Amino acid sequence: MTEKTTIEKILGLDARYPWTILVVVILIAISFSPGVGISFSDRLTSFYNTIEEIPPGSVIVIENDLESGTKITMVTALPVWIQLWQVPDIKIIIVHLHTDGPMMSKMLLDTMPESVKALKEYGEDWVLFGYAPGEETAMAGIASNIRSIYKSDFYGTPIDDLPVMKDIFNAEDYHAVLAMYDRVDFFDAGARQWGMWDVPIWVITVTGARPYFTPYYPTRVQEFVLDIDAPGYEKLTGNPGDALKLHDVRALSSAYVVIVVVIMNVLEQLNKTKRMGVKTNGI
Amino acid sequence: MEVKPVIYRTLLPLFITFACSVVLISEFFVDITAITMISVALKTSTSIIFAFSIVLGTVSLLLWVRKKMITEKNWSNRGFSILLLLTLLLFLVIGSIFGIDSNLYSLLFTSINFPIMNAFEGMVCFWMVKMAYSSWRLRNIESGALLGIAFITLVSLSPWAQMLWPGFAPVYEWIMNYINKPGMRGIIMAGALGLFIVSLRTIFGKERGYLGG
Repeated sequence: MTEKTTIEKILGLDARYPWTILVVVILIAISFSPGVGISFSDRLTSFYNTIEEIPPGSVIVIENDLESGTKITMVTALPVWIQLWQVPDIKIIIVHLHTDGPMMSKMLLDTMPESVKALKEYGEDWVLFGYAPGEETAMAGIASNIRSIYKSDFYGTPIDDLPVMKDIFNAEDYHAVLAMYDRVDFFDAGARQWGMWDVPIWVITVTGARPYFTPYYPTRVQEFVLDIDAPGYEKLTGNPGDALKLHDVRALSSAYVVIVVVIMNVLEQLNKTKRMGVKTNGI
Repeated sequence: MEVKPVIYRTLLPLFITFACSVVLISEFFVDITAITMISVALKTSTSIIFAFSIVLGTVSLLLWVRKKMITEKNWSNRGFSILLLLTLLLFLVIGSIFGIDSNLYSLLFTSINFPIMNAFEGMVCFWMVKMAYSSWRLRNIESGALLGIAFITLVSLSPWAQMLWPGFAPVYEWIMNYINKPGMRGIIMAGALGLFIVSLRTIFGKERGYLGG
């Protein structure tokens, strides 16, 4: 049996070594927070302006369908919620088509500063509904007649006893849907169901899910990509949060992945050349 | 062939499917109050059936754990099954007694569900490194094309990329707009056409797989 060369040893290295380096890289990012490359894209400013320009008297539906696994990324959406809470004279209806949704929204609301929360009164200006089973069918129900899906709010108050729900029946009464999606099927369902009523969708999502809703962009969908836009949004709205730390982790870990890809490919090509040289020399 | 089983098992479900489909489709084309009302009732019933499926899933899980207790020889695997059952019961009991809006339920959710789910999500980055380390290799033209696009996307989405070369963002947007968007639209259209055909077959009773047997 021939002995392995150094290149071959590196190419066949146990995955635990690069994983250990990754942990070190993440720890460095969290500890030093270098804050490199925070960008303000057109997409970001456009999203910011869209919320700023919500006309008085509008009803905004927040459809929070993020899974609890995305909690760390989801908290970076807090500045968007804060900005929404600061828009005067609008009503906010929070609905959920994923089982984790209500707890995720509750957690986000709990992290909202009390001074911001006090700007809107529960029941009068905003309402939190629970989980509506049925996914797309439930979405269609909320669009065509919200009262057929929800009989009471998350805390058990009957829907007709909530002043905020007065004269709100279907998607014709909604100004826009702020959809928080990370699942592919929700994008399609959202485009179908909200699109049918010509309700604009402001999607809050993660980079990995972006390719799935670009087919609907920009006619039906306006996007806010949490892991890219959140740090800039925090700066823009003056609400510093966790996005900056996540941004640093993403920056350093992606740099590490790129370096690993380059090194491994260079070694692979060197190894290939060496093997071909051995063959041509007839050894 | 007996007449009654055919009526109950085949004809009746086929008729229900046909009737429900016609009502739901009619809602898009005609504005008749009765049709709208039936349509809303059908959508609501779907939500109820969906909710019932969660109950069914819970019962199936209980039966599976019971079976595991009898057949499983490995004690650690039995332990995991018991842990699963206890967690299920814990959430069920606390949610039923104190309500899902209670602080205790929130505490349970944030202490158990959030850390576990986030740990799973976090593990993705390790697999990303593993993939970068062992799979993203230039071996032939096909793998080169895949590697090239994946690499450009990865670099373009990295916050430091714009500092290296401002052209990364336009290249990424070009990939999204001229490669991803048409491809995804094609997939969506093809899927929709396929779904349309399957729906037609189901409505007219040609597709009977959902009846079972």
